[in-house]
Amino acid sequence: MTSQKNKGVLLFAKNNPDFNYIKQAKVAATLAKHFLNVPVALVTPVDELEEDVSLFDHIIDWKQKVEEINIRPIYVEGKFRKVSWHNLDRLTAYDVSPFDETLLIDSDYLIQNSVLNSVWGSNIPMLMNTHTRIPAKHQQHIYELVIEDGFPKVHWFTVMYFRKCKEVEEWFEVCKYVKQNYEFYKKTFRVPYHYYRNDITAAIASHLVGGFRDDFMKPLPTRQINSFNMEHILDIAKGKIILRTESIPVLLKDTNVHCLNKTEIEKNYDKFMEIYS
Amino acid sequence: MENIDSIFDKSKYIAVQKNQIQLLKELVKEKLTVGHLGGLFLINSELLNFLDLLERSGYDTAVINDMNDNPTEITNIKEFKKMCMEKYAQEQNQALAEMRRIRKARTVKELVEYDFTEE
Repeated sequence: MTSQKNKGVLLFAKNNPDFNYIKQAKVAATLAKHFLNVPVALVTPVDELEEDVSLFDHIIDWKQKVEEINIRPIYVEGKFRKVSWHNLDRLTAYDVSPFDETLLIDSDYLIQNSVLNSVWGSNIPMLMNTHTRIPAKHQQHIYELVIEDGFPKVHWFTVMYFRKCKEVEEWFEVCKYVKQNYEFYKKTFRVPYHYYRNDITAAIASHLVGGFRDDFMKPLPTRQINSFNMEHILDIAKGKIILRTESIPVLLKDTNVHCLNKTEIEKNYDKFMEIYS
Repeated sequence: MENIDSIFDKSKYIAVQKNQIQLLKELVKEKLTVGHLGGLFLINSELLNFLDLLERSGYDTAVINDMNDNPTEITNIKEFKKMCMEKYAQEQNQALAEMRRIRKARTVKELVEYDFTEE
């Protein structure tokens, strides 16, 4: 077992013209602290900070030698828009994490229970989900079903547990190599996306590292529930989020959720902070 | 057509109810997952019975496969069993209370605890 100071949550955040990722990260960190009671580190360009980030236990300056921006079509307030994502340094998580054991989470990942605490001290040095569901149905989103047909299982980088050790370091190195040669791997694995995805890079890296099999990555104890961009938050209470999905309303009680509709987190920022701060 | 409308309303209610029950079942499994001595274990009747058998057979230490089929050395069978039993009872009691709440709810509003008239 590792000591309290050697484990924690790691978040990356860099604002873009469409989303305030720092604000989202503050919500994610507040919930993580409330339910997991561990320190939280933020990786961000310090010279761009405009908000109070005192709730984070560690601030790690994100210095990019070359500004890389990933353009993705995102459904924002009823319309598809091309949005710039600064998610290309996520593969440096191993290098920048101040913890021996890290839970890397997205800034739009909302923790509502303490189940993730069971990963600390795991014999397996990294855990990541390869199955998902949507809030209203016990199945994956249709896009992911298409990808999984003859494709290595998509690895959800939304939440990842890793321990600092040679095996994990090598996995991250392979991820970086896949990213550097993404066009080659995109064609080899017939990746259907024209834009870059860390989830796909992780899937390919596991396939390569794991002896060209798809059982390399073991799952987290929590489910990967993806609430997609067209879903809205109706209400929030302690440990509860009520969503309006395309088909039915859903009450997510004590359940972690990946809220891809980032504007909903920003809209409900005050409420989240009031409940959990 | 009033009859048809009420059938569709009921259908929507059932869809919401079934989804909430499914989410609850998955959540209980999630909450019954514990990390112990490096392994991840799902507390279920099989694990509880096995731990009980080991304890009654006089084993203090045993190697048990975890959720990922990794052999994990459990050096304190008695304490681990006690911890699992307590966790199992606590989570199952909470699950029962939540299942009763869902079964008792007669409307979509009650199922998701949200007043749609406010929208």
